[in-house]
Amino acid sequence: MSHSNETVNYGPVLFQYDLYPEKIEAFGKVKKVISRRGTFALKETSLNEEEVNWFTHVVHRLSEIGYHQIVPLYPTKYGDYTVQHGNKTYYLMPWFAGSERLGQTREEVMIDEIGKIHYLTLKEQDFSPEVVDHSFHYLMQRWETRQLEMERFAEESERMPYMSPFELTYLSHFHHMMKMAEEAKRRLKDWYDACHAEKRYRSALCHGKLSRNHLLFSHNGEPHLLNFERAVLDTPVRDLAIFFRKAVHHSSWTREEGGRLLSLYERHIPLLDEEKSLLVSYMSYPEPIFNSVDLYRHKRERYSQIEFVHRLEKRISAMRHIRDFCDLILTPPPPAPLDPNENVDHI
Amino acid sequence: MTILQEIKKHYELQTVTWKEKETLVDTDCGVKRIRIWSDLHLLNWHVRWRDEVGKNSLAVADRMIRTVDGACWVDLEGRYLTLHDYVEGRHERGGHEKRWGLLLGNMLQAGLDLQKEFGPITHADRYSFDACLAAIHKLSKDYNELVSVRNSLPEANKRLNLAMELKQASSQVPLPLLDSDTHMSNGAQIFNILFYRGSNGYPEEGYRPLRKFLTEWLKECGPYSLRKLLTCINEHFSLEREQGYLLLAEILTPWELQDCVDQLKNTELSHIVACVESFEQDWDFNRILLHCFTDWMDDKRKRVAL
Repeated sequence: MSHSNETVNYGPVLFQYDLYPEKIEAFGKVKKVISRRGTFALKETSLNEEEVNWFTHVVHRLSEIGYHQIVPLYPTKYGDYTVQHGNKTYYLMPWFAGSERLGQTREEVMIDEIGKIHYLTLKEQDFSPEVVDHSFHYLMQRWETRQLEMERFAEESERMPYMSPFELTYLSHFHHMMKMAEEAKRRLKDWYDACHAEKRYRSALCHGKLSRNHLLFSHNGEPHLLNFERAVLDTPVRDLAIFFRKAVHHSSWTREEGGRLLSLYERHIPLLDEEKSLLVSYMSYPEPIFNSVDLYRHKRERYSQIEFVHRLEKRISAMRHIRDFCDLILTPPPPAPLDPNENVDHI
Repeated sequence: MTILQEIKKHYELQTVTWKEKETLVDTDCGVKRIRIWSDLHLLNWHVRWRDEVGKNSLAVADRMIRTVDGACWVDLEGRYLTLHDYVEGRHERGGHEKRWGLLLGNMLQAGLDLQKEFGPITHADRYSFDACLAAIHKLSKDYNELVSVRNSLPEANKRLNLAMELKQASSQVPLPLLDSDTHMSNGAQIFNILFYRGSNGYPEEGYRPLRKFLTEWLKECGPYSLRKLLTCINEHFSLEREQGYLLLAEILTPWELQDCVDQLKNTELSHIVACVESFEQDWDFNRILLHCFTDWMDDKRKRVAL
């Protein structure tokens, strides 16, 4: 995977770190830079100046408040944490190639770490009905517009003399998708009403792009999160929804496993009732399915029909897991077991 | 503790040896230049403009390498040591106007942004036409060789008056500060970067360093490349309005006359002949520079009008 010409391309960037690479290997947007001074990960992003400032602020802030399980950023020799080159921004990190400790899955580690970050940054916001109203109406409107787009696609598909396999698959699950969208909207309304009733709203620093690929392990098995480029102050539910939407794709996923992961998270921050409604709402909305329809409509040349159908079916199946998991979240906890000592006669 | 030990400690370097005593050190991160400063305010100016210019990665100045604590210098009990990259060789000029334009545009912008803060430490040459006039009249009585210098006086006077008028019209407009030692020869190339070596001198307020630079460019690369360079500078720092007029005023000012008079302090005949030759050449080049710049400005104006 070594590309000698990449030494030239990345030269102006690596010069700022005094790195003269012996080999560069590409892993998507991350380049593994092997040099006499060690092995590093060079990440390419499209962040603008404002986003860069926020991103570096987030990384430093986490360190200041005592969270050290993030992949650190190395400053350039001039003390900058990013390098602007052309229309791209680069930053350098250590190359972590360790593997997870035995006894804990990647998902368990991730949910535990994100729970810690949320716990350290959780803030009860001053309740502002305008902010909550705005969030609610904005999301509701966006979802309704998306629903309309999908309905239009369903109508177009129905009018086709010969439906494609993708259109056929889509139409056979259309009713179910719409039901999930309605459920998402209902739960969003529950959250909205509860926020107004309780006059409370919590926010935390959200990673914004949680994924299995954004968790690495150092050589001694210590977990480290990376890629805080999309970090944002928002309801902690934002990260949870992204996390669970991805986790259901894993082969070992069961509804009970989801429950266990959520309780791992809740050891750091127990969710409020309205936050549970919001989590169910976020997860239930079938946006991943709608996205695969968008891909089919706009980039049809990119994949074959069978690949499109495969992608759609995978997402439909994931939504089924989500629905089961949402049922579990909304199930009231069983009553606490009776204290066995309660009926003991004390003499 | 010796300077080498200080560098090793503060910059966390494994090996540091002299490559050139008091100037260059060989380290495990390559050859580095050291500079010693005694004026903290001057040092701050050099840190700031270099940092501003170094915000991109195509045309950068030799910024101060940070210590392990993130500081820009090492305090040596009243003196300050800074460490810089050292790049040998030279960067191509003609054909690379875009890169040089980026560098000069960023230098001008930084100089303008920092003008208020560092204005008090500037150094500026004052032009005294009367002193030039008196010196040339006095010398030309004894040396016939100075006839071309004497003949240039009416035009020099006209140019000076025009320059004064332009400066007067833009008297409220702040002038950028520039490194007084701004030359093409300071540009080197590493990877694909134009690496510019700044000086450690006091900054100059105004466009004289740029005028010198443009003259150098004109001499080496010709008028076509110069116009391209001006267009490229203009993409990063506008030379079309007041700042352009102030640059024009600087080009109009007959500095070559004063430079010549300064040289004539040595009255050896061969020296005087060489001075006059050099003056004639500078005078002609400055005419071409003036012509190029006014042409370029007119062209810009026409484009706006169209």
